[in-house]
Amino acid sequence: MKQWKSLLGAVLLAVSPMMGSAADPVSDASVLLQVDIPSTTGAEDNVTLFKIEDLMALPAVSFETATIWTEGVQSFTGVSLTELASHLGVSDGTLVLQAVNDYVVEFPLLAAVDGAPIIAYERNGAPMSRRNKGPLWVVFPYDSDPDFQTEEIFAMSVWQLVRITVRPDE
Amino acid sequence: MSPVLDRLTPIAPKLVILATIIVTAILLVLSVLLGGDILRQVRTLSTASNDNMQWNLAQSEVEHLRLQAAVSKALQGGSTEAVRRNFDIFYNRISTIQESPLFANLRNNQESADTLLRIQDQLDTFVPLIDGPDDALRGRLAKIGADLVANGNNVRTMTLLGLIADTQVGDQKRKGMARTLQRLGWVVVALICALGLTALMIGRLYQRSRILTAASRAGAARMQAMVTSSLDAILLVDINGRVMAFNDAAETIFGFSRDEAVGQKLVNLIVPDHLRAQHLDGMARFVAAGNEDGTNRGRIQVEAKRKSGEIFPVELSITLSKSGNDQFFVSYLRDISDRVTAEIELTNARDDALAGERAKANLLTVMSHEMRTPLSGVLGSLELMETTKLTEKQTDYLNAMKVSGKILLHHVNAVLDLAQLEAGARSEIPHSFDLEELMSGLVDSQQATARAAGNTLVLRCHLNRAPNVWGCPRQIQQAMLNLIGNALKFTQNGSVIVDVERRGTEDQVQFLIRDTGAGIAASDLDRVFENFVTLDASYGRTSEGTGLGLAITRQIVDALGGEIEAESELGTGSLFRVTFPLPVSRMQQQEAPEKETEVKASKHILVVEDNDINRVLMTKTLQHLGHQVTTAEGGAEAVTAAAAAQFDLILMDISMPRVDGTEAFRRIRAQHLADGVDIVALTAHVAADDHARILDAGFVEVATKPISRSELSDLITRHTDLKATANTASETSDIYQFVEALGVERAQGFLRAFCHDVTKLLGELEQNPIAIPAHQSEAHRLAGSTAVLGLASLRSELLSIEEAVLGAELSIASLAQSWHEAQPMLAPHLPD
Repeated sequence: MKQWKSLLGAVLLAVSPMMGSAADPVSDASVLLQVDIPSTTGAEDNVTLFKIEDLMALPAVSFETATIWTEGVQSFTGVSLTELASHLGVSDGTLVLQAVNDYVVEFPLLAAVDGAPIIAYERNGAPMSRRNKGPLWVVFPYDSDPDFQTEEIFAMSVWQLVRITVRPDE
Repeated sequence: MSPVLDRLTPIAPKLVILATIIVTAILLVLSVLLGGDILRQVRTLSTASNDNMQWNLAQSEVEHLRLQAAVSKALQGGSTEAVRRNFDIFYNRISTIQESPLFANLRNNQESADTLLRIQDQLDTFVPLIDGPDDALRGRLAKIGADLVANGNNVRTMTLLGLIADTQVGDQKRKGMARTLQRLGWVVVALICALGLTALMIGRLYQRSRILTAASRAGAARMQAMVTSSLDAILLVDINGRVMAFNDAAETIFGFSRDEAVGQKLVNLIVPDHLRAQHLDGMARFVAAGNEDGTNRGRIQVEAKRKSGEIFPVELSITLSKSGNDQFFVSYLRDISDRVTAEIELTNARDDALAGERAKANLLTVMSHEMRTPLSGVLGSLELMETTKLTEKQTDYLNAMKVSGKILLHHVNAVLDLAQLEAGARSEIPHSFDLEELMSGLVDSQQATARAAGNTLVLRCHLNRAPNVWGCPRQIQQAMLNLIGNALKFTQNGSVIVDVERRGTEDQVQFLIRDTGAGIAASDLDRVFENFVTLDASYGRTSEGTGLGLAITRQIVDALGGEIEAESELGTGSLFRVTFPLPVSRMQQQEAPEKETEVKASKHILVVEDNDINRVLMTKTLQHLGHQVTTAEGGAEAVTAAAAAQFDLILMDISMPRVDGTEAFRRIRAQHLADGVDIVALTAHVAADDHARILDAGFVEVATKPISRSELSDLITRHTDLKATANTASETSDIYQFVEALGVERAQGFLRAFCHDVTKLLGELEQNPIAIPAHQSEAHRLAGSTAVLGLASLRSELLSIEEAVLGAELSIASLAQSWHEAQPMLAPHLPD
């Protein structure tokens, strides 16, 4: 627990300068997600913006699961993280997930499998508002595997996702 | 091992084991359940359902503060976007707390639930403003800020309450875990105990099995010792005849070592060649018979063969035994060569002894017989001498010689009598006689002897007025003579009383001879009946004491089926009690012919005797009796003489060399040289079967040598023409006797059968007068009956048929004649 807190705290501190330097996200309210792929060659960073339509255009994945934050079984629909990554041409590295409240967590892309996690844009057939974990929530199919019921996974279940930064492995 | 277990297991071992197993099983199940429980709890931990409730609550405070800060900034001209954003973040946080199952405990707590409600309400009031237009929002920012301050306190409260709840839950969970672990611990301990118990029991079973194994081994060792030390050979042979086991004794007896024997076929090892087939056959039969209960078929004596090839006798027993599915033979063999040898030796010794006995008996008989012949010469001569003129001195000497001679004869007769009696021969045929007369005659003859010793001799008869009895008078007379003689011998100036008594209608007659003499000591009482025992040492041995008297008496008693007892008291006297079976006979004893009758007519007699002296003696005696005598030295001469002349009587000696008496008789009869003439046999042999054989040969009577003058005279009277009347009388009286003896009914039946048989034989012979075995044996049989009925001529006719040469032609005329003469004699006795 405490280890995690400190780790998160460290990560947060580490990332916040990066936040400051980067372009301010969400000048356009219709843009739900910004994905930054820093260039290794010194060129400009690749920044991709996704609107809801863009995300919906990608192959969708749905599953049902209960979560520790909700009452009862929920149905989630969204795009698989691996799908998104391959769409962007990212095959490895660590994804830094950032929520609207500046909550940040790292997710190694190789740990992702198809359908776990997904970036969900619909819960129970309806989009999620910002007041209710939305518009984008990174969810895992918790019920399907006890491995998805660990503290680590819960920590990576970022709601109110706004930004993903790809950090290549060193 | 464990005394507790020891006490338990004998009582109900199975129960204990069963209980232990059940308990162990239950504990296993429990431990599995508890373990599962713990796993679940641990998994709950690992699934981290807490998700850091504290973080969430703390974060809600932080987000509230950020909201407050955004509002302040917006009041100073900052963007409303930040306000909206932070409001959403905070709102999201609170709704998570509302929704999430993690915060169920928080929501359940009344205080925290109220606080939460207040916060929610507050937020809800803000919602329209947040969602509304920008300027409306800006206008109310100050109010919002102020409300947020109050709200902030609620948030703080909630956080603190959450902390408390969280810690409580944590403690409960820890306690629960601890309890479960404890329970698991106890279950594990119990399981270990149960397993320990099981281990103990296993240990005990192992102990037991070790003891049993040791006992079994000891038993097997004892068995082995028994087999090894056995003196008899013990062989185990399998169903195929191969030797499986061969003990030490077998090695010794047969000469094969165990290694040589085991695995070999028994039949090749120890069965002699000539018994091979029998052995194999026997084994096969044995197996086929099954012999299920394994009982011994008994001991068999067979021959076996040693390794050296020597054949020897063995005694063996075989049993077919079963062990599981195996069948095998167990055989015990004993070498009985020694025993067989000993048996043979014993048998030989016994045969030798018996032969010795017989030789002795023969010796006695032959010697006595040999002695009788010269004795008869001496006594006969003495008798003749008596008839000559003698001086007084010569008379005295003669008397002395006569007495001595008579005594000598008496001894010889006694020995012969005893030998004869011991051989079980009967020298007399039972017939009817007057007992009273016999006894009174006997007693009278002893009166002189009694008077000489100063004794009184008295006879008392109680025969219920039925003096005639059926028995052997001569033997009874002899027995009585011995007893009375003894009584008189051992009594001086005393009395001897003879009682003859029949009780009621019994067959038994009791004779009591009482004397008042010296008596017999108790220790001697048994011995007196033994051979050659004399007890008159005090009187010196008298010339009459051979010691055989009582022995002979006892033999007579035994032979006649009677009993004898002796009682005595030294100094007082003795009592001898004899009983004989003498049934009453209503028949009058025929008048004994007179002792010395002067013969009415002179008869022509043929004397056949090979011994010169005896022949001369007989001749002289007969001539003195007034008869005409012709002599023949041997059988052949006798035949010639019979052919040459007609005689009234022939006296034929039996034992003659070359042609003996029997052969001469046969020839004379076959040639019909003396038909109608009696031929009397003379013999020194006294044995009854000798007499019987002689009578069977056809002689009308057998007389024993030496024969006295008076006996000779009687003989002549009986067998010469005086018999014409006497015969009829005697014949009828014979028949009468017969009927009396048998009783009318039985006699009639017999006579009827006899008449029928004779008629039948006569008929068959008239049809076919050839001598065939069937006729001859029938003739012999009927001849026996004629003897009983006193039909002498019929008898001699039948005997001549029997004597005839096989296949010879028979002349039936004389047989028919005799039968014709006999029939009227039988007629009165036949039923109408």
